[in-house]
Amino acid sequence: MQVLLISNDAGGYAHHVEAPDGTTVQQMFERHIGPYKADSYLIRVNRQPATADQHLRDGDRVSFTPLKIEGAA
Amino acid sequence: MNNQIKMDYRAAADILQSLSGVRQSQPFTALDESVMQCRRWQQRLESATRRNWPTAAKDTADRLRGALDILRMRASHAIDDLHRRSQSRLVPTATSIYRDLEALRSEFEGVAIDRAKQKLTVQTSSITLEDVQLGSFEIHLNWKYIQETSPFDVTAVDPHPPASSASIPHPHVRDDSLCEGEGSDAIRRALSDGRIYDFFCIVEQILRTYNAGSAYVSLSDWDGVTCHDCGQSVDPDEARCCYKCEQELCEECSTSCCDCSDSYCSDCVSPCHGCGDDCCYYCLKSCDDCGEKFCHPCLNEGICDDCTHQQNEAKAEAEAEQQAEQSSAAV
Repeated sequence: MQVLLISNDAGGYAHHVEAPDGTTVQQMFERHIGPYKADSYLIRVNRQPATADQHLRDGDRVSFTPLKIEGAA
Repeated sequence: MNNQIKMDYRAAADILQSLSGVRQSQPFTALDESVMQCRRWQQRLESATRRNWPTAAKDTADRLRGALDILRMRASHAIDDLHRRSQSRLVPTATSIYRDLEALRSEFEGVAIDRAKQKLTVQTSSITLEDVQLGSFEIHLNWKYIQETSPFDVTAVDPHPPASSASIPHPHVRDDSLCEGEGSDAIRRALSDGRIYDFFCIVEQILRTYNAGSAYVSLSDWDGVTCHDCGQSVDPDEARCCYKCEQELCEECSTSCCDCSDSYCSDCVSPCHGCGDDCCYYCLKSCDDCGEKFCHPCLNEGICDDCTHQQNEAKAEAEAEQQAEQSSAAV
């Protein structure tokens, strides 16, 4: 299946990725974001709150936004 | 409800039209800006060091550290962007933007669209950072200027600024402008992709994060700085700084050295043994004879007045004795 993956971390990116059927949000996070704590991110599927064990479907939009983004002066 | 759907869809179409001419993100432009910023802070640090201004040097060094962190981050983003340029970019549609607007209504306390002013506003819930209640904020996206560097403002709904400045409602907001810090590149990317929902989410998370290393006013000083001697809260702009230990003081607790006139706290001055005036650690000198501490005017060639007087008396006595002996011998 194909999923729109959005990361609002670092420089940010948005592109379509292939994922096996039945991939969960947690698996997508670990595969593409890395060994960080998922609860440090705002996670949305199709712009709605999602659980880590939620299964993704073809055409879903998944976004990960860090909860901690430091501003400056 | 149907009216709202129509309004939102028309706004989505307007935003899409503004996006149609948006520039692609230019990570090397941001990199150049960061290099220039670092050079500016480096020059100021050299100037403060040369003039022997330790407090200014420390503050400038902190700013330079923050600017170097951002430079390192932007260099990393530029490398990532080069890797990703081979991949196709997201193309926004009126439908995707409409869905963003719909989602914003669930994500935020309030959403307002002003098509006449081409402005989209969302309101956050109340924000508290390190026990300082800042209240809720409005993020205004001026989509007419979506191609510009900073097409959005941030205003406080019920401002709670620090004692020192009414124009700073948040540690990272001044004059309605958010200093985006490490969120800058993600914001640019979200806007250029037309990901309006993500843009507002990123800005909100910046507002919910406190960066103590780079704030217009630190939260510890939000309600004023604390005088080291009396413990009173003081406006940071009116606070004095001890020249030796750099502790902050109110005007009343600050003491001037009678010799060099610099400001000190009570721990860093001592009374001159001669005149009793407060004198700093650097200016107090010991009398070569008695070893007590004196200010510069109370010492004459390293000897205090009392010891000079005693030396003169002793000298006079010695001379008198010598004369008496000579007289006796003559007789």
